[in-house]
Amino acid sequence: MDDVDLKGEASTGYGGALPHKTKSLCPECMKLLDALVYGEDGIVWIKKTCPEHGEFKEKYWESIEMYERERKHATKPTPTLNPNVKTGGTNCPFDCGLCTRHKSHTALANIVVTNRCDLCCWYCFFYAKEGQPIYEPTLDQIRGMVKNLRDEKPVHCNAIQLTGGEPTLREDLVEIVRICKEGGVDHVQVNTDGINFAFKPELVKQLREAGSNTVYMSFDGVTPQTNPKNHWEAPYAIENCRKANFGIVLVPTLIKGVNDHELGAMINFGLNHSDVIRAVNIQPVSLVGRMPQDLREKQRITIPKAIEKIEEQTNGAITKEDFFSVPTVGPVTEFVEAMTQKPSYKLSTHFACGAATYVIKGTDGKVVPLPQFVDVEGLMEYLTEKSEAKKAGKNKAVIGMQVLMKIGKFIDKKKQPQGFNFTKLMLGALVKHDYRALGELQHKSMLIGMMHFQDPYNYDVERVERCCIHYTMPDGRIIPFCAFNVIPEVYRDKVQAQYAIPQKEWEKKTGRTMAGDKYKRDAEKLVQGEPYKKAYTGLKNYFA
Amino acid sequence: MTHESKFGQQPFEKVVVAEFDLRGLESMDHAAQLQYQLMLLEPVVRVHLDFPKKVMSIVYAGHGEVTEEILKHLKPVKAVLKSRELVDYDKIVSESYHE
Repeated sequence: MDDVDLKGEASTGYGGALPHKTKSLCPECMKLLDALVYGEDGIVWIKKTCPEHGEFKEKYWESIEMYERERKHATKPTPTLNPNVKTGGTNCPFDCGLCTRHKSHTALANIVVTNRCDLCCWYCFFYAKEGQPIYEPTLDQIRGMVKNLRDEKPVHCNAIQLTGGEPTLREDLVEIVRICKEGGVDHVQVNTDGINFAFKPELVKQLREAGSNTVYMSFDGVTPQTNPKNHWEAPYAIENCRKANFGIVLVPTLIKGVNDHELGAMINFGLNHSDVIRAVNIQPVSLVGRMPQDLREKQRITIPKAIEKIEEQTNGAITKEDFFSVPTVGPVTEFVEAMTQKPSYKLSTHFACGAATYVIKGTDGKVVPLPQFVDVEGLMEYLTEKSEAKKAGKNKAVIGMQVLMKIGKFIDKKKQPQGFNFTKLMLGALVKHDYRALGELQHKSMLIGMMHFQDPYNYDVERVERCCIHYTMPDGRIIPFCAFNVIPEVYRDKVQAQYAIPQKEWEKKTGRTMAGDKYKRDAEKLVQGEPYKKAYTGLKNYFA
Repeated sequence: MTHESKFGQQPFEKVVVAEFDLRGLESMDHAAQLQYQLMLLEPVVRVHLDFPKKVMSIVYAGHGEVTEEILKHLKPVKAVLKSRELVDYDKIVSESYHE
């Protein structure tokens, strides 16, 4: 690809055709650079040249075909009306945030409640090592951060993830959940390695009773080799969550050549425990830190390749066509907003950031992806048409009636799984605006999601400015995920250092030690336990 | 952590808020790069370089020696001080908290 494309041949603006001009970073010096996203040999690449450190060419999406399909789902922005900073975002991504340039409201906010962890994973940058300062915002600070998120306009943040480090190391975590709920937040999830969920059933119960909805649990595979982090403990965590009626999202970090051969097995594992596992949310690895090209090539996997592997490993039961990028559902919220005349929760994230499908397990035990019996594209086009009609002044009741009459036309009832009624669920959400219907969808199905967080090599500023997963900080700023974690030296690490206390001071204050936090495994004992056997043995193969 | 405020404990009680006119800024990307480099300095709390206006707004903890360090990092861009005042850090935080 000739550099001439950077000077005018390439498209500009979100959703433009390939080749496409954007901005990226030099992975060596973080200089903001012109970059080109382009297709070659069936793959979408991003290329940029730093005057000092040379050219960087990186895989962006491993399918031009899928990129072309998904870029058409690009949605309108939902800019914030009351920014947290006054910079205007001209130096994005160094102006966060949120600023007036940012194009998505906070759909999910992370609050880091501690940087302590009970594990010591060699690849992790998120936790305090021996001797490093301890960052633990006070309850007052957390209350302030929750209020800040709720004050966002035009759409208040309504979902918070408590994260770390390992959040369950905080003895007041239940109180923190209560603070979120008292602040008016409906959805509170706990991001965890599952160790304390495995061994503290009382804590699991208390977190659930305090109003936490979901456990977002790391789970990198179904074998000890692929999941050394919590293979032995995850079954106990699952069992405790089952008893507490606490839904789990399994979160595999996907690395090429390490665990990508177990994608089908992880989905099958989830389906076998779908009474408590609501979703498998796959995160293709983000290669943060400096890494040579050959190692990047060895480990890099992107959303289209992961989807391709799912199709292979489920024997075609879940296909590439069953996945849609996150903003595909934009017309649903557009429609609800048009009908209610109130700002509605939107997923206006960049189409390259995430994809998902629902799989439904019928009463006959068969598993069917939702797009195999719902014409998703047709339904979204229809809802867009009806939103436009409402905005043009057409009667709300008439539109509601038309949707009521028409929606069944988008559903192939012969293919719809037994005991599942999609028409009823959609009418509940679209016409009655009863979101319990969507909750019911979660309970009758399993979501297979993908979220590919960026790194300096594949960084695209257009993606970060549309990010809807943010971090809130005690200094009042709200930072998009891929600014907070990809440029930690100016966001995450810098601010946490400002608000942290020396480790010795923390030990004196709490009477605890960092070494005392660390978990020691007794694998022999764990494999003998009933939850372990129940989790991994005698599983049905849904894709045989 | 040094200061108790209505936003909980804050790391600073007072900070310097300063504005400089800049000469020699080449482009938007140059402004972004300088901004990134300044953000790496420990005393710098917030900074924004406005390329069209050729102005830098900066918030930092500390006194004269910090200003010298900032100016050194900007070279060869020249910065001329427009205004400087000592303000409560709470004021900076409250602006981000939609107060």
